[in-house]
Order: sequence, then C-alpha cells, then structure tokens
Amino acid sequence: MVTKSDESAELRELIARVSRQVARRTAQPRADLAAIVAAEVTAALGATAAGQARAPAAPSSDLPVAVRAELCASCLEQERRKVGRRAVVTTTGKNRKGIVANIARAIADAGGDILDISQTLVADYFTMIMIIDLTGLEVPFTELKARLTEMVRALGAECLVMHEDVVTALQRV
Amino acid sequence: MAWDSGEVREILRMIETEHLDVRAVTMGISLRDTAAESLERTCARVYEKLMRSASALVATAQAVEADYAVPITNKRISVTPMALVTEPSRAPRVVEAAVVLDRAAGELGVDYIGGFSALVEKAMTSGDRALIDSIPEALAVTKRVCSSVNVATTRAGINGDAVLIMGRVIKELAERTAREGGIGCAKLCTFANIPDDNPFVAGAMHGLGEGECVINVGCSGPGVVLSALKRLRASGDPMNLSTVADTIKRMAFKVTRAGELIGREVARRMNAAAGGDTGGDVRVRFGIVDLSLAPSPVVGDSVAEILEEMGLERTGAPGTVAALALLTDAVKKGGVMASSHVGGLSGAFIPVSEDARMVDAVRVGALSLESLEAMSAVCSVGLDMVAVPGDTSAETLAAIVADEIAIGVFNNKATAVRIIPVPGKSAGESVIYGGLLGEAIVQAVSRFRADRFITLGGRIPAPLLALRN
Repeated sequence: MVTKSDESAELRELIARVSRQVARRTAQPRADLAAIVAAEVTAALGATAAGQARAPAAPSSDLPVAVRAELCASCLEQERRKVGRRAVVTTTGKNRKGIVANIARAIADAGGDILDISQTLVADYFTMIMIIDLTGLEVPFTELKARLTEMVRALGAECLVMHEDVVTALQRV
Repeated sequence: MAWDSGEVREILRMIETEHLDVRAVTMGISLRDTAAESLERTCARVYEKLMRSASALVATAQAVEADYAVPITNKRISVTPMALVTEPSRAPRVVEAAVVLDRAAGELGVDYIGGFSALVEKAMTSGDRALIDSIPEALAVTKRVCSSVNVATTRAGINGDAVLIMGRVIKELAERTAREGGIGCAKLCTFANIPDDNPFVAGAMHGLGEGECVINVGCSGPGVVLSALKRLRASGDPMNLSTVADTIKRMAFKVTRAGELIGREVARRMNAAAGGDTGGDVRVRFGIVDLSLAPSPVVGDSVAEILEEMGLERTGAPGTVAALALLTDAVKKGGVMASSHVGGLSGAFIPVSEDARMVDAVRVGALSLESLEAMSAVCSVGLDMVAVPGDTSAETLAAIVADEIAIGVFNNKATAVRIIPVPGKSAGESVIYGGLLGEAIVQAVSRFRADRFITLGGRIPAPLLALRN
C-alpha cells in the first residue's frame, strides 16, 4: 500500500534527480542550480496540486475501459522504448589503472547513464560489463560506440558495445 | 543486473571467437509487375523497381549490424523467377535480364542477387527454355547473379528432359568460365522442391506466393555449436548421443534468435523508411529465418568439424550419415523454438569447398561423391560445391543431378546440385575460388555410364508420397 507521504517523498526524490540532471548538462552550472530548479518545480507542482484539490480528478478506475487499455498500451510502449534504449558495454583485457574511470567518463560525456556495473578479475585479466541508459544520449549511438572502442583499445583492452536486445534475445526464452 | 555476467560473456565469446554471424539478410522483391512486351522495356522496369525497393537495404543492414554487434556477412536480393518476368517479351535469349540484375546489385552494393530462375518440374514453356538456354552466357558475363532451375517436385515428379538439359548447361557454363576454374557453376543450382523463401544463394528466389517485399534471414553459427560440444567434452559431464543433441539444440536456439532479431529489425527499419504503414508504396515485411548451419572456410566455422567432434575420425567415415542426421534434427528443434517463422532450407549445409575440414576429408580420401549423396538425404541441400573432373560428360553430370534430385523427390525434401566440372583438371587436383567459396579438391566420378537411361527423355512419375489427399 502506497501512502500519501511515500508518494510525496518519491516525488521530491524525482524532482531532485531531474534537477541534478539539468544542472549536470548545463555548460557552466552555478553551484546552486540544482536547488533553484528543484524549488521552481516544487512550487509549480504545488500550484497544480492546489488546483486539482478544488476539482478532484476522477480516479483512474472510473476511466472508460478503452481509454485505460490505451493508456496501458502506451505505457507498455514507453516501457519498451525505455528498455530498448539500453546498451551493454563489455570490456575485457589486462587490468590497468584508470580504465574504469576513463570508460565511465566517456559514457557520461556522451550523455549516457551507467545503470549497473559488474566486474570480474581473474589473475590480471578483467571483464567489466556495464549496462548504460541511452535515453539522454547527446551523440549518435555509433559515435559513442566508436569513442569507447577507440579509447579502450588505446589502453590495451577490447570493448564491445551492443544493444541490450541481443542479450535478451539469446539468453531468454 | 538483468543478466548473469556469464550470460553476457557468453555472447561476447560467440561474437568474438566463435564466428557468430548472420550469414545473409536477403530482401525478396517481386518483379511480377515489371514484365513488358519487349525485353528492353522489361529490363528498364526491373532496374527501376530494384533501385526503388532496395536502395536502403545495405545501409540499414549496416546500421543494425552496428547496433547489435552481430556481423551480417552478406546482403542479398532475391527476385521472382526471371523466366516468368521475361516470358511476355518472347525473346529467344534473355541474357540482358541477368545483366540488368547484376548492374542493379552492383549499384545497390549487395553481394548476390538470386532468381535468374525457372520452375520446370513438369515441363517447359518457351520462356523457361529461353532463360535456361541463356544461363551459361548470363552467368559468365555477370558477377553477382545466381541462377536456379527447379527440375522436380514431390508433387510433379522429375522432368527428365530438364535434367538432361541441365547437364549440358552445367558443362557449357564451366567451359565459359574455364579461366577461373569453372566458377560460373558455383552460381547455379539445379533443384528439387525449391523453397519460395530461401535466403541462401545460389538457390535464392522470391516465390510466387510471396508479397511485394520481404526480408528473409539465413543464420550461420557452426562455430558456436562446435565450441559448445568441445566444452561439453571437456566438462566431464556425461557425453552421450542425448547430451550431444541437447547441447546442439540449445546453441541452435541462440544462433536462430540472433537471426530473428536482426531480420525483424532490418524489416522494421526498412518498412518505416519506406513509409510502408503510412501510405508509402513499399511495404517491407519480415519473412522467415532459415536456421541452416552455414559453414565458412575459416577454421572453427565448419560443419565437418562438428561431426568430427562427435567422434568421427574424418567426415565421410562410416557413421557420418547418422551423426549428420542427429545434427540436422537438433538444429531444427532448437531453431524452431527460437523463431516465429522458420523457412527456406533449414537444416545443415555441406558445401564441400566452403568448409575447410570437409576439403581436408576429401583430400585424405575419406569423403567421396557417394558419401556426400547419402549425407544429403538427412541434411539441408545436397551435392553442394562439389568439383569433378573437367572431362565429365554432360550425360554423366545429368545422371548425378538425377540421383540427387530423386533423393529429394522421394524423401519429400529440397535437394540441389551445385557441381563444377573443373575444365582441365582431374581427380585429386585442387582449385581455389577464394572468399566464401573456398578451395575445392576435384573428386573422382564413377567411370561407368548412364547415357542410355538419362537420354530416355520424358518424366519420372510423381511418387506415391505425392498422393496425400
């Protein structure tokens, strides 16, 4: 059961996250940019919420079945797109200082978001697998791929970047 | 993480060391609406339609390849059997039609274009005859055009006249391309029960029941299956016929999934680019995955190596047919689960020159023409990329074709012959074709003849198997 306070905590979290993203993407951000954006958005939302309180919105269960089905379908589609916008980056090679940092920086510079990392080290050889979110990617996917491959190769390791659909298709029935 | 890191590493290994690739993305294009009253006009319309329909094929395939990191080895086009398209022109020779296919294929950047074909399982029309007579010259003057002639079906029986003609066509084609070891014959298949949606050359064509445009995909992946069997043997787990079949099935599933993913995505992007669902005039649909294991001359990407990993000293040794039957069946069972539409030839290919270990087996005398024939009863195609002495007569070639075609017709399956009588070479000599076609060792042919039988003419009646109603 989701309580009201849970909801508002979640909302605050969301606003903070969005604000941090906005600040990160701005060329020369003020130190307090995230706080300013967060305050603005919260205020704007408060106004809307007040408006809604006067004319309560119909609960979703009152929506016609067809509309709900459509909403559901579009959510699914959105979910699919979101999922379809993730890539798997695998790096293999001899361990070297700074390699993870370099890859992470290259991904961040391109606007990618690292969702998950797993790393295994056997003797001096490592395999690192990163799942990255491409939703906010600011360069074409092929460009990111080229940058990563080139940079990793310069460090003496190998890197393969692929759409996550490949892993899902091959490894899930 | 959504996947176990071992799962991601497995895919990495498949792509980087086990040669996982999609052998062919083949776009089938109907040319039925291009037939005209003159050959010149037909050719102009064929060219226009190909350039309009497939302009985005290579770029799209390359983009999908980049996104998914699975290499697409060949981009190809297949078209309506050309004899149907050129027939209304009443031209006695239709070499120009092959030339225009070759030109379009070159300009579009595709590797091969299949469908310079005729369907003559029962008899021939004048248009069929014009096309078949044009094959030697057409394949000698073009680079990318592939030709196939269907001389039999289980329903219709075997057209003996056409079989004999094909013996002569093969012979003439080899002589016309003598300087390159008779390479023209590598682009010609004589078929029984030809599939409508085969993405593999030389037998690719766009069948009569197909739509306007379709994307068919041919898988590959012998290397993936081979490595899995090697790991099974090294693991210390029980290795018996059941676990071997099970391991192949699992790997075939994964290989086919890669093909399905790539094919669907290429079709989706091409359809979107052409506005297929929003008023555009070209609708591109995903057709089928052909789940055949297609070898390449690279070491480790060989069907023969799989058979040998199962325990044969050499491919061609007694036990080869049983091992190949197990392999083909397991590939089908794994593949069919992985794809919503399976079609084409779907089995395991045994193109001799294209499979380095198979060439070795011929070299040491383990693999004869007769053992290849027996193998073709339980795998995808038939006598494929087999080199025979240049002095083999047209009648003997036709008789070899007849045997292979009979295996297909009487077992209700597709079989084909892609045989090269290498001019000037005799048994045991080698000829190098290069690229995917590899190297061939000329194989001995029986010195006994069947001339009287093969020139009897007429048709071999359809087998009882055909009467299923």
